[in-house]
Amino acid sequence: MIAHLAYSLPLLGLISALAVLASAQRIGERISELSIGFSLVIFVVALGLFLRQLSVDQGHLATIGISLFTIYFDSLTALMALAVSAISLMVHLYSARYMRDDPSYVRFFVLLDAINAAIMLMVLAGDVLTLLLAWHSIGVILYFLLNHDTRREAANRYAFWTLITHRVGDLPLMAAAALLYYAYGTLSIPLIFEGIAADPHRSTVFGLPISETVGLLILLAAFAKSAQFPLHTWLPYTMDGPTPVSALMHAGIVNSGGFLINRFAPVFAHTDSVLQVALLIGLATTIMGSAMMLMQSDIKKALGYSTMGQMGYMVMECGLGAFSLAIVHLIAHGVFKATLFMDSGSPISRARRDPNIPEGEIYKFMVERKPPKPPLSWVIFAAITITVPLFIVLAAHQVVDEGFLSHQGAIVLLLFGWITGVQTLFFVYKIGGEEPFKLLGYVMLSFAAVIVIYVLAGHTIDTLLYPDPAFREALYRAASLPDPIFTVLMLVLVTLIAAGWLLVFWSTAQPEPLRRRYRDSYLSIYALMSREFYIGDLYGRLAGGMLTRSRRLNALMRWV
Amino acid sequence: MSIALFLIAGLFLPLYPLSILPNALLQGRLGGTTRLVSERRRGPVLKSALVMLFPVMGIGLVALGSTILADGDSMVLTVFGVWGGLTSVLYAFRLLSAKDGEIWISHLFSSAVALIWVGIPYGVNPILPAIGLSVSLIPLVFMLDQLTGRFGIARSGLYPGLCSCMPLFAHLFIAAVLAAIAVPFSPSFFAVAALAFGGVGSDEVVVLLPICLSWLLWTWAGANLLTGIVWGVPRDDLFYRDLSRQGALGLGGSLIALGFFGIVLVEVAL
Repeated sequence: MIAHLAYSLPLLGLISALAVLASAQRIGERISELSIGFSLVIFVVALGLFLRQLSVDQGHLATIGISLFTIYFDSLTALMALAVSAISLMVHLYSARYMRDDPSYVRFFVLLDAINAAIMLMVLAGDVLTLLLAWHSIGVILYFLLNHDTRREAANRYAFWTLITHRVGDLPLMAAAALLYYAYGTLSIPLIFEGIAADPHRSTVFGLPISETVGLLILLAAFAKSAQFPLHTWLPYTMDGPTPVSALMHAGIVNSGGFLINRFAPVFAHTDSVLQVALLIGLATTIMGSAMMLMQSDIKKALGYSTMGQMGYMVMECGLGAFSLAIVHLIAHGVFKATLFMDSGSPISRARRDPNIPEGEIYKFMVERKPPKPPLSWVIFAAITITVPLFIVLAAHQVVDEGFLSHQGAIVLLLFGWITGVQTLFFVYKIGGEEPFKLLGYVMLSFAAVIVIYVLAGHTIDTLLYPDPAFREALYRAASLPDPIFTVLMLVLVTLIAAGWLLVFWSTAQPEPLRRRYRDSYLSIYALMSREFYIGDLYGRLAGGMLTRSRRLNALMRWV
Repeated sequence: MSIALFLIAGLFLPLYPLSILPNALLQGRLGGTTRLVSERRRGPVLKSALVMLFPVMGIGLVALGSTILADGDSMVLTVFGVWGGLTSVLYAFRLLSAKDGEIWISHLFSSAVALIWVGIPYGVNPILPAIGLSVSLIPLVFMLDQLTGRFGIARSGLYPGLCSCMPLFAHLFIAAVLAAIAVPFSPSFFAVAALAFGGVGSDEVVVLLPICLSWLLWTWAGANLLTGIVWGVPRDDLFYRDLSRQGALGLGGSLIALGFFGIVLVEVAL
């Protein structure tokens, strides 16, 4: 019953798109009210289904009598449907005013409803072909949404980048679906999982176990949708679409990768070396995205790179076996990034009227570029900065889950929590000011609150999505390295990071910081990063080369 | 004998260089020279008939060849499968730079239908994928003919921005291009899925690689076609005549019917 009711979620989106199209001439701009009304109903239904699922605690499969369009409704689906419908409602509400007077108002709402229906279908898909179909459709509809300004060449160019990258991601998913269908003789996702649990070592391409091959293919599909390095170039450049589309894309569509990895968690539980790939790629993407974000002067592009960094972190969490944490992350990121995008025009507008920056320490530091004198000896501040965040993250985890130290993935996440905390406290040191300890106290309190909420939410969602402790253990085990290697790696990393921070503190306290002393190298790195490591240029060259060769080949073969 | 039959089948289920003949036919380069004959051979009805008939004839010849093929000669089928895969990728690659509508359709036809060969060695029933792949091209054949009727030639880049001045036509043209390049819910999407799902098994790389590569290149070529015709700023020196509401409804209805046909196709195939 519950799964059959879930059919209404994508269907209502589709009906909304058709209703908007049919009534556009009659009711004009009031179509937005119609579309918002449907979105509200979808949200209410998703909320009802989520609450119902909490008490049921198992998955349900529903069909309409054909092998296609089956629906699998479990805790993951319920949570994702709720998140998708909430973000969609926010975007709809915002778009009603933002898009007013736009000549393509109707087309925008039709496409917005259609993409929400496609995302909902992807989340609910109970068979691999429906999943592939929805996954594929999202990329295509997004192409048209990004091409909203049909006359703008840049919009068209970047919409194409998006389409082709998403298509690159569709192919491994199709290959994975085909391999699973061949191996287990069914399209049904729950039946495939049962088959894998019964026989996880069935071999496929080059004699590799099917779980390894399919796991890798699923990761590749997720990498393209979630803008992972080196398939990230489409994300920061797709700012030529309307702001609500940016919000939907950064808050919803890019999260598809995290959802897909979670959907196929039973496959990853039987892998040995696939999740480590996710860890590496996620780490590279996090570092690149975060570094690039700091170099942007355009607020929307900075938010774009921020999304890339966050998506890297989400994939990295999966790579560490913390699958449910990735879901917490994608929901939290979705909500705050949608809000940031939708608010991105306001600060620009306000700043044009009045910069309104209080003339204090932050003004001197950020605008006048006059770093105040550090408040304390760098040694004492470095000691506080490096040890306190470590204590906070350790204590928060210890309170929620005592056994966390037995998981390698949890330890690595803890390491990242520590780095984030140290970075925040270092900023307090750099700003300096008259009341450094008051500021330090505020920052520590905020950091502790964020960490405790994050850990609590992660733990709650973990038990909701994966109630079987043995399955959770299997995921962590699949993401683990051999113990001696892990111990050595962690010791080296912690030493390097701590030494790096000490060097940064020492350098900042010197009359001539290292950055100024090695200015040429610094500028070279800056130039390299400002061109985004030439990856976009490389793709452009490759595409141009292929088109030229295609033309030459056609001329040689006389076009027949 | 069976090899000879497969080679003849290569004229209908294109195998390069045998594919030159059907390509030339679809481009209207063969046949009589009088104006009437020239118009007929370039018309959408004849092209659609060829697009539908060629694969069926090819499959008939392959079936005949397979029945007389000795049991131990499965290698022959594998060689033809690889040849078909290479032909598909070759035409998909050439499709990237095609701007003329007739060349575009003929190259996409050759690339799509050549994929049928890929599934044959692995026992995929070829008839449903063949119908799915060829029927999905027909709306585009008619839409390109509409362009020729309005502007004298169907060619990407000559009259961009139709989305602004011929909205009904542009939306249906987009739908036709999407159907042709195997986007859900077109029958070609399900045909590609049926080929991949049914054919994968004995040798995944041989089956999946050409399907994936060709599919990716079709998307790229389709986006190029839309860029040159639908998107952009329209020219001021041309007269634009949009489709009538009835015509648009008819074409739109047939595209929706095509989507339902795709679902039926995949139900039967898998």
